[in-house]
Amino acid sequence: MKPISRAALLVAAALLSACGGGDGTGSAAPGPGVLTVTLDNPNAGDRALVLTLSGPAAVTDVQPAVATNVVYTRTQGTTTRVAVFGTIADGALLQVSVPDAGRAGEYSATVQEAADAGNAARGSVSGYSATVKRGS
Amino acid sequence: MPRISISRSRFRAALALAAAALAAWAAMPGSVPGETRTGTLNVVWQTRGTENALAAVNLFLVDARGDATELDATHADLEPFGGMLRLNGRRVSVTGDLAPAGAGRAVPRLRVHAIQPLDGPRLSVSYVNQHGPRTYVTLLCRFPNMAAADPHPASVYEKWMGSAYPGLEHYWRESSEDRVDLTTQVVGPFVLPRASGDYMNSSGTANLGMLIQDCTGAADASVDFTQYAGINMQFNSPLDNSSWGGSWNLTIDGQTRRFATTWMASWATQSTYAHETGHSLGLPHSSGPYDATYDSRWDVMSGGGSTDAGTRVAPHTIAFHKDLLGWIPAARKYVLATSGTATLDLVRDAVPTSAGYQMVQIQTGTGTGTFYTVEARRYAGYDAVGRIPGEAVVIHRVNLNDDVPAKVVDPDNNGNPNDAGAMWVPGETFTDFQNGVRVRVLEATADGFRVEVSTEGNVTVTSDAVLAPGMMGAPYAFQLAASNAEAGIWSVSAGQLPKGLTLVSTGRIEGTPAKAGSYAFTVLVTTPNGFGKRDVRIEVAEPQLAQDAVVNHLLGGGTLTQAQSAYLDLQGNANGRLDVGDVRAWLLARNLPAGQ
Repeated sequence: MKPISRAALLVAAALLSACGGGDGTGSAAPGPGVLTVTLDNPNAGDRALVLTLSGPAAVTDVQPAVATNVVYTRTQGTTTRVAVFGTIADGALLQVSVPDAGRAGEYSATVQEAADAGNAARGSVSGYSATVKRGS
Repeated sequence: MPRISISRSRFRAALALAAAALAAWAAMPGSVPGETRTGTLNVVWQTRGTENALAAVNLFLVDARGDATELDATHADLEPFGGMLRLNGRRVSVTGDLAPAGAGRAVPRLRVHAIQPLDGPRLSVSYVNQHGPRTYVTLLCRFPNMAAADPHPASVYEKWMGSAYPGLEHYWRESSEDRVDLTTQVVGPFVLPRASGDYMNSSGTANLGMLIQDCTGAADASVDFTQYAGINMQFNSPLDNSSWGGSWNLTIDGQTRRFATTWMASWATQSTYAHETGHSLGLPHSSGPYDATYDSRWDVMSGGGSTDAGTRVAPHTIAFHKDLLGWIPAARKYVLATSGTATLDLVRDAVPTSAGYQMVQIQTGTGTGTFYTVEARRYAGYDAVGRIPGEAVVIHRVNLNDDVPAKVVDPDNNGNPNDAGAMWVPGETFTDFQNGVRVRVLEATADGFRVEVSTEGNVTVTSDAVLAPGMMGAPYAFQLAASNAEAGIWSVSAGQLPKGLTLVSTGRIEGTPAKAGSYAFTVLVTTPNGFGKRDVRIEVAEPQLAQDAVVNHLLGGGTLTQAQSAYLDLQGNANGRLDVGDVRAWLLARNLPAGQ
């Protein structure tokens, strides 16, 4: 685990463009690609969050969608737990590289816990939702 | 000094009747919530005429125009600023619920919610300025509806104020060892503009603000008040069967300032004057430990006095009060540390000779506001035969946050702080097992007593001074040990254990340290036959953790021990489990990447 830089994200995005990208429907041809995890956050002011990514194959890379954020990951089998620190707001949260972007619809993300700017843990994450779609 | 009190202290009443008062206040028509007023806080003490019970201590906020607002405050309101004694004379801003004047109240009353001192933290002016010349004026003020005479001829008051025994100038010179020169001029008579009944509130207490405004107003044409630090007002009625002493802010003769002030009832004697001028210097009451303000004959600021020279003459005030006024040099005050023993000579409180200590102060508890004072009382000067209860060592227990801070230690608990139970003579030992304090009177000396004071006791705590170190988040246990103390009961007598640890009565320190640091404290063990103390220390460290290990654990790697996980929670949000908020706190504290 180590924080992953924005530069790596840009490289991944460039490669994706070279491959022609996708329309987010998961109907593209098989092959490596990038998925976007989008967060719907009921709370303003969150500064930390943990979520679980699951899918048909282990993700190969996770990058923050917001340049000033930092992520830490741990993968076990086809499940990856991700800790995100920084500004946790509605919208794109992560860019996830997968070995087969054609199977984007089989990936899911679940928020496990969150904390506010004072480091107090949110009592419940039932109002949080995260969706995974193809494309950067 | 005649004395009574039929009214209990404002503070005690506030505590005892809080619920009823709150309900009554809420129902009071015309109450203005959230009112803020600014002025000088003046403490005025009551001296009642004929009954020995608790006397009132009134707080007034007096603004630059001399308008007063009575404050309804509790100890909790005043404690953050050192209590009543430390706030006396300070400019403050007070916010609370205001009951306007009228409906039986001569002055508005503010139930205090918040106090904000406006000048810097310091002792009251009362306690730093009682040296050198202090010139008072005594105004003979008459009510027009009373007999056209003063209670005594002016010549009597001049004698009571004078520089020869038993005059106040003589009295305070002796009491302060010539540090203060309180001279007084007697002037009058002056006729007040209103009848005596007009100066009474419906509750039966005197309207102090109206009395001082009218008495000084009547005298203004004859008196240049810029020449005086204090104002005594001698009235020709019993007032509310009380005399009062303290301070007041007045605008007069082109000046607005605080005056030392007394309001004297017709029955006042020399000892009443000494008592009230003591209040005007800032002194509180002292007493025995029985909730009766005037029961101690050891102090002019309680019930001390005896008949002589045609009046009732005051004894000295106690050493604690002299120390408050700065009249005991540091070199003659022995302060005993939380753990120590000393043998020393105490010289008498009255007219002390040049060698020896004038008082001992022994700290108790975990704060600086509670302590014992030890003083020697021998017959000399105003501490004449028959004026004080006897020749002995006298011990007071002091709580600076109490409206009667110093109370005579009287372990026989018989209601009389003036008998043998409160007089410590050679061969006797006072022991406070709970606080680990011992005072032995060894022998009488020519002008006092030789005493041994100790906070160490006769039981030896054998544990090392540096106890086993602790680690934040890791369970801690340590058993204290002492010789000859198998049945001892252990406690902390000073300082503080690390947060998260407790000392149980068997001597076991246990718990989970919640904060890193060095913690010094004093342990006390008491047994049926004595006690022992030791200053000890526990160092609490933080575990050193690798970033990978911490983040991996958060993400389910499970590489940390339970203690390390508990530590992360304690330094984070301390909600009993390790979560992402704790890890963020830990990363930020070490300047590790945690986003923006």
